[in-house]
Amino acid sequence: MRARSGRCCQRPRPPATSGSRITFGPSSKRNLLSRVPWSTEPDGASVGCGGEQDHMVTLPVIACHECDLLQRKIVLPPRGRARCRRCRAILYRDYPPGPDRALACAIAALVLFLIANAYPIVGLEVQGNRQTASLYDAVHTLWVEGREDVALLVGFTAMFTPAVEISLLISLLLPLKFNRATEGTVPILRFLQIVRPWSMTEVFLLGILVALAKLEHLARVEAGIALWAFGSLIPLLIVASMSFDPEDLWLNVSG
Amino acid sequence: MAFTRTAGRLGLLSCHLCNSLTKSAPGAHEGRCSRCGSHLRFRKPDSITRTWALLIASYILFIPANLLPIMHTNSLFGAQSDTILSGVVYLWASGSWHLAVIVFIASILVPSAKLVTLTFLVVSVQRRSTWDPLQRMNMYRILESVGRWSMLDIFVVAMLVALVHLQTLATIRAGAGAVAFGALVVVTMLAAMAFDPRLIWDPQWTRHE
Ligand SMILES: [Zn+2]
Repeated sequence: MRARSGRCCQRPRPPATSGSRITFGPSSKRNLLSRVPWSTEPDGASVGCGGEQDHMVTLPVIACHECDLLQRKIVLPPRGRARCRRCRAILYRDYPPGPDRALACAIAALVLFLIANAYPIVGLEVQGNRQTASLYDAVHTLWVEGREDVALLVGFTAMFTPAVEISLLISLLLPLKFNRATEGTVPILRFLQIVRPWSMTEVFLLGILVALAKLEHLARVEAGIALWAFGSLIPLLIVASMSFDPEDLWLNVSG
Repeated sequence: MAFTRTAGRLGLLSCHLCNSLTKSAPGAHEGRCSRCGSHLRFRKPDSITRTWALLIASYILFIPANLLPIMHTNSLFGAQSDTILSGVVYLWASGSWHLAVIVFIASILVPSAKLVTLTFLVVSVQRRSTWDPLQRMNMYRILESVGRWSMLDIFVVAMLVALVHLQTLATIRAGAGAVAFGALVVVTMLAAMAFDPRLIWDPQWTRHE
């Protein structure tokens, strides 16, 4: 495993705690790792660069979720990323401490999302006839005209899933902020993982821009407030979902 | 070789949700994560069969998605129906070549390249190929990250329909092609999700054995 500028290949140093129990005590908050009892494996004694291990040594090991290679976790330099040494997938990052930044971005994203849905995205003026359209109008018009399937698809990917994504993020980060243990973490994370690929705000934004450009030579078009809200929502949502350590969540899981 | 030590080989199930490792019961093909309780399997279940099924569905949907009109325009100058390709040609002819390129990439190049690449990956995995796994892994990453952008045309049509609706000048309505195209995007995304990239790497360690 390689860190961007960190120590690369060290002798495995057994952590202070040993035993086969999987522990996540709050004392080791930054290095919370799931511990695998290596000695139970017949040939598990040398991982990576090898070393002399005790009988029941536990090592912080992680499996790459894209190629399944086992690798030892190391301490990353600030803002560093650990990549899989075989397939170069990002295994984990060094996150800013605490959920504050992520939570702030998620709440700002929620406000912008409400604005983006409440106000018209674009206005069109043809021969003194003015027409505005919001995201809801787009879904509604498709529905009324008998294209319910397309209406559902647009409503689902541009409206429903982003709303769910933002609210799930907030409900994940709020308990973390106030150090409340919740049982909700696991279902929320699971749901977030399902929902995320279908939330297509950035594609929708490009779609608006293409539609505007297409109409440009037919009529006078003007950007509405919602267009700017959509535009600024996207980076905020990315920052929100990238700047909290998922490992922190597991400290808070009750039961 | 330490290089080929994978979790699956050591009987460890890795959790897709919390990234922790759980030791599986001997001979078991599945288990439960010791940290978050998720249901775990060594590889995505029936990955190849499910990817094939969704791929074939995508190939079938590809035909109506490209042949049926996605948009009908009624204006003072007459009625017009546009398929995805004729929309790109129209954009190109009317001088907005940059838009034509964007729409061409998102709606034609990406879906077809995605189908071809995914087919190649599934076949290579089925034949337990050991050809440059990193290269194939990168193909998978690109096709997974790029797939969603095909939804572009659906959103363009949705915005046009909402804006140019019951106007004196023109009306735009979504066509049946939009349904097929939307379904195509969804099904290809599902196909990419059904594929387990770890299968690309699995023959590596069996060969080294
Ligand atoms: Zn990897």
